[in-house]
Amino acid sequence: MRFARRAWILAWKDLTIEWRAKETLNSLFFFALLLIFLFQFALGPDRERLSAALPGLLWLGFILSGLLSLGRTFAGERDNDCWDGLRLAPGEKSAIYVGKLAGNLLLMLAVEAIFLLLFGVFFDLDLVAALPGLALVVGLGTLGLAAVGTLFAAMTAHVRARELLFPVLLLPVEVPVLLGTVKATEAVLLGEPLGTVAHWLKLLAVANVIYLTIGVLTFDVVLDG
Amino acid sequence: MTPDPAATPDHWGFVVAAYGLAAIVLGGYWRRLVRLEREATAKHDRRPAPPGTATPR
Amino acid sequence: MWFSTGRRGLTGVLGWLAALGLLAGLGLALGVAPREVSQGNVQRIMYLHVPSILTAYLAFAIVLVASLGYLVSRRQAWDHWAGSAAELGTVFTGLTLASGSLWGKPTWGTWWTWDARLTSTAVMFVTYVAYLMLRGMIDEAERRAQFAAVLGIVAALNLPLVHFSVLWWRTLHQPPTLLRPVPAALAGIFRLTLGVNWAAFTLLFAYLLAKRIRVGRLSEEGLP
Repeated sequence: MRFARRAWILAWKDLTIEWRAKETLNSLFFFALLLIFLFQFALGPDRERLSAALPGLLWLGFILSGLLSLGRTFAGERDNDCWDGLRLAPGEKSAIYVGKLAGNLLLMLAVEAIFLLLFGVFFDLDLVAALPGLALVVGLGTLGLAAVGTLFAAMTAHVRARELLFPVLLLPVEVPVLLGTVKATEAVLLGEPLGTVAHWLKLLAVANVIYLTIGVLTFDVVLDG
Repeated sequence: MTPDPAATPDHWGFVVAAYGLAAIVLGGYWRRLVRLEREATAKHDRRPAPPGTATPR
Repeated sequence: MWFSTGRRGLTGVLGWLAALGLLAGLGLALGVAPREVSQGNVQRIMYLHVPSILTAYLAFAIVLVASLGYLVSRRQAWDHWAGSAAELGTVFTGLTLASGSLWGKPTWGTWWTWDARLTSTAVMFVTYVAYLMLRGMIDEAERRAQFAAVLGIVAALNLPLVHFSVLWWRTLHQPPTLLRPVPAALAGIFRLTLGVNWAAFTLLFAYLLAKRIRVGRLSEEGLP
């Protein structure tokens, strides 16, 4: 299937570039560590208050680092004058969307894994038991962030004040994802069965379907602008 | 209608504030539109008509 | 879509109808409608608050339709409808939040609470403010129309997700309900007052929308 191959080539290119330079990855890992400190300093030494806030803080961390990495989706093309190359590439433009989305997903999941590890260490969380549920929730939530984020990153790539406009556009849209993931993560970390948050998981799934569909259908509009 | 003995306090101030705010906001927006329309019409009328190209869409 | 001189006449008529409607609505809301038993006269703010949010919903529905219309046909007229409706919708949503807050302080004792409805409305507000910001930052008409259309569709389709997520978020451990329970039926005069005010707001919206579209159309260079 040419579509899948195109998407795969693009994702592979981005991941290879990233792997060689490791700029973004290292900076995001370090950013994650700094956020942990920030959360600790903001919420103080009160352990109970902090533990109660942990699911929320986790996703705040995911979103903040996600904003940084998603915002840079097309930085390479823009800085190196490759934008037209992207636009003029033959075939379905939505393959570019899928390829970029895949790259973003992998990058975000890697950073989130580090985040979880750091959370486990610094806030004394036992994550092993919660891992399968956590993986599902984090997967659904990250897809929700990346699906819209990749689309908006292309949209804002050539707009004035893009570094400010991108988060401003993305955050209101991501409210349902934030609410759903925090509630579900809360349940998972408390050891509750996934069934208790089935409605949230369904909401996240529906949201992802909607976002992905819009992304695939409208990406060529956003690229050609 | 007999007045309610256990009367809930009336907060006419809030009611007036709400309606007043609506009047100011909507009225202000309307006046802005009227002004913009006047300016835009003036600018539009001043423009020279493109030579022989009044092709309707 | 044509806006000929005939349309200007229609706009004028809309304006006068709106003015009449608003006058009638105001009279009903502040004078004729009886004092509500449990809340007192503060309840009269509802005759402003409810039509406001309903008008905003209408506006954002138009944004969705116009955004789709633009992407399908690429005719600039759709974009004028989308941008104008979004601007108006945001104004009415802001009014909804402010009037809600002014109602909430005497009734609940607080200016703001993160209850489901207020929160959803606030999220809707910031979503469309962001939409307007995007429009404001693109100077080329065609690109602005295209990007705004995509954002308009994302924003609109996101609203039901916002509604349910906020609703479930607020009802903690209760089982989620698909639909809010139907509110108790209002007595006749209350319903009439609400209806008249709603109609008046809709007329006002239509009038302001027509004017705003005209301004947008005239401001863009080189359009017929």
